[in-house]
Amino acid sequence: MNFLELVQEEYKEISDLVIKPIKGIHLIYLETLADQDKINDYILKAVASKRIITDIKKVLPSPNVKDIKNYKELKLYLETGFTIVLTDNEAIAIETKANITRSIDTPSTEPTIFGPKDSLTENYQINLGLIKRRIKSNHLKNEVTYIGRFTKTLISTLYIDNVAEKELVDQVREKMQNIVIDGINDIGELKQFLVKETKNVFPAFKMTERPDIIAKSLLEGKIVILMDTSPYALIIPSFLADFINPVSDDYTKNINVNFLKILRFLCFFLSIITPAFYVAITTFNQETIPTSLLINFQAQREGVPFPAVIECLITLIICEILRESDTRFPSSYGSAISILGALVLGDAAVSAGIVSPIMIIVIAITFISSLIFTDLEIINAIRHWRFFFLVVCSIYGLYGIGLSLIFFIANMSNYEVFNKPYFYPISPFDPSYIKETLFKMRNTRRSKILSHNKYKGEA
Amino acid sequence: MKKLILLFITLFLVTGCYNYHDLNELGIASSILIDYTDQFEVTVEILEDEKSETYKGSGKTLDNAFNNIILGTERDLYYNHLDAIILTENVNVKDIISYFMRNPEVNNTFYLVITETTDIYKEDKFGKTLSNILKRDNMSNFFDITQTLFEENQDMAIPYLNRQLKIESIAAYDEQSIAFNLSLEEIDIYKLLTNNTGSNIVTSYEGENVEIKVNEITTKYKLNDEIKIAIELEASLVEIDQTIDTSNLDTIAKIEESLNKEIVKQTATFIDKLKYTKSDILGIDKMLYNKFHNLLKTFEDYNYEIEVKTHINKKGLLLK
Repeated sequence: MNFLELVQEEYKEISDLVIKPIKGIHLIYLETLADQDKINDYILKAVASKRIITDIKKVLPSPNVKDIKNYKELKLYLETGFTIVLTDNEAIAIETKANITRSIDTPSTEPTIFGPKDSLTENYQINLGLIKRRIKSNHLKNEVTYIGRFTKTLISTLYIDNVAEKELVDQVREKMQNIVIDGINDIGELKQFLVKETKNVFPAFKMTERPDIIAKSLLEGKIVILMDTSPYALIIPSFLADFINPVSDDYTKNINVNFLKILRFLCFFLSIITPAFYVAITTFNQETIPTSLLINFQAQREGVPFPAVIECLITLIICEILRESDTRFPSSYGSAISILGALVLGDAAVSAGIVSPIMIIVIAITFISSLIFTDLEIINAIRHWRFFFLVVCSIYGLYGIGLSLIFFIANMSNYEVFNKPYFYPISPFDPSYIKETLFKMRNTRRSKILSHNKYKGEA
Repeated sequence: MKKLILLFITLFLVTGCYNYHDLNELGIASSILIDYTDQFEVTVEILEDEKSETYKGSGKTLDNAFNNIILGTERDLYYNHLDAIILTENVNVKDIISYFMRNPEVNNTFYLVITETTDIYKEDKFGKTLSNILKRDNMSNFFDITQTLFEENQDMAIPYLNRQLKIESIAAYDEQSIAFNLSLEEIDIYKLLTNNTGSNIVTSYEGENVEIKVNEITTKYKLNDEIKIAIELEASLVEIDQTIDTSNLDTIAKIEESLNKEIVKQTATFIDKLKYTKSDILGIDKMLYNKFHNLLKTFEDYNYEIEVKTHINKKGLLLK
């Protein structure tokens, strides 16, 4: 078994491989991944100062030295930025990774006014550090696997072993081991390997870039998956209530937050129902609105050539186009879109008689309500249901809202991710978790579904 | 499982677009005036942006008359926002009400009014004004009247619109036609007897007029060999001569005593009038039938004993 020959053979056409013989030992590293200064400090200086090297591990001052048992391990270390030191009888890997990452930034997708301002980066070590700074316990375990035949991406499963349920950890581990794929670029891709693709539009897992959300989830007994090269973490399991409530709720006074929480749930339903409700009351159930309002509606719709539902669909689709172009376009061009959107589509569409002013208000309420949620996937899911409600209500009126709501609730209560009900804590009902999500109250119990460890603060 | 599928299919298929109206095709009717000479003469007041328009039509039947109106407008008539239906004295009320009750697209909170004159549409939005007046006066609306309509043993009482376009009386019916019109004082007593608050009673105490307003009332009918009417009311002082010392409890007790007598007197006269005109607007025949299951017993054959307990608990902001 000669590692040196194997490396020379297999890495023949790789330009950044450096093999440096010095005093009877060989250093092997990839110069793009390794930091030349570290190699100099940790290895070369030490080796150069000794005349005879007896025990290489004692000579090198590097803090991170690993033994290499086989060729597969050698390749893995080499390709992750380690420097391999080969002597006559042993092979070791010394950590000399170059710092190819950006520094810790403020959260861009989940901003809050109060609370910590650090967010995950693309570097796994930094991310893990951010979490371990928050949870200082040897019960915080992380199991590392590498996924991808070519990318060999590091994936780490984090949990607190005496809080999280063992069955859930086993399930996740089993899923991880069965993933066979060439490569993986982002943690978003990993999601589809963990659950089967279903017809349910709601996201199965919450993705977050905030270490404080990760720490909170771990303490609740959830499992967090980190991935090298991805600035997001997956939280397993996630419930609908988790998407609606941001973590910053925990940093403000209970009574004020409860008002906001009720408002958010109102917005959740408003953003689904509002267009459908408008169509229902203006085309079917005109008896339900006050007479003067009905006359106002009538006056405003004067001259609009389409039925209310077509008018509504036109406006909704225009707004979706606006939103998509706004997210795709570089932000420096953003002002052009807002001018076009606000002036041309808003004002001119009304003056041209294509849509009525009241429809603009309805759609504006709908979109502003949906913008309360930071998770893009939940916004997409809401949009899906919004169109469903609209179509049903355009056929059945207010009765359609009842029908669609029954269908919606049945569908949501039926949805499970990793055998955990998605509509939890409403169905099944659990007061201890309601105190943390739907309302904020003093709570000393952990939720039954996530942990067998009943009380918070006990060993 | 088959039953379940059937249930779901019916949920979706047995309903549908039947009540679809485009908003701009609606003629929102605010009030309807119905007159009958040799055929139905109908005037519909339709609300438009900030004003109202009236459209006239005639026909052998009511529906004919309404269809006759549609010929002259670009919109369909929509009755879900009705404020008032105004009938002349020569219209059969029950026929009209049954026509509107058969229609699923009619609200039931509008007011039914009998009018003396057909020349009522002088101002915009007359129906709305009328409905506001009647709402403030605590009058019974269509929903309340329909409850008495199809009871065999009760007669209707419908607000009466006079030539000055004021609601100064209520028309008490006897089977088919108007028996008599209640005066304003009689309306107050009628409200007391039908458990409605809001009536004002005037009595005299030491030669001065004292007016009270009824805030709470419970009226009970006991039917035996004679009919006993027990009225208990909580009232507040509205108007009183300043020479009377209201801080004295004895004075208040005396005023209460005088009120009791006054109400007993007025009620007795009122019931005598009802007996004379055979108009059972209080629904006593129905109570008798419910108790004795005998259609032959009528309210005219009974003697009445009236007992009133007044309690003045508020004197306004003044202590004296």
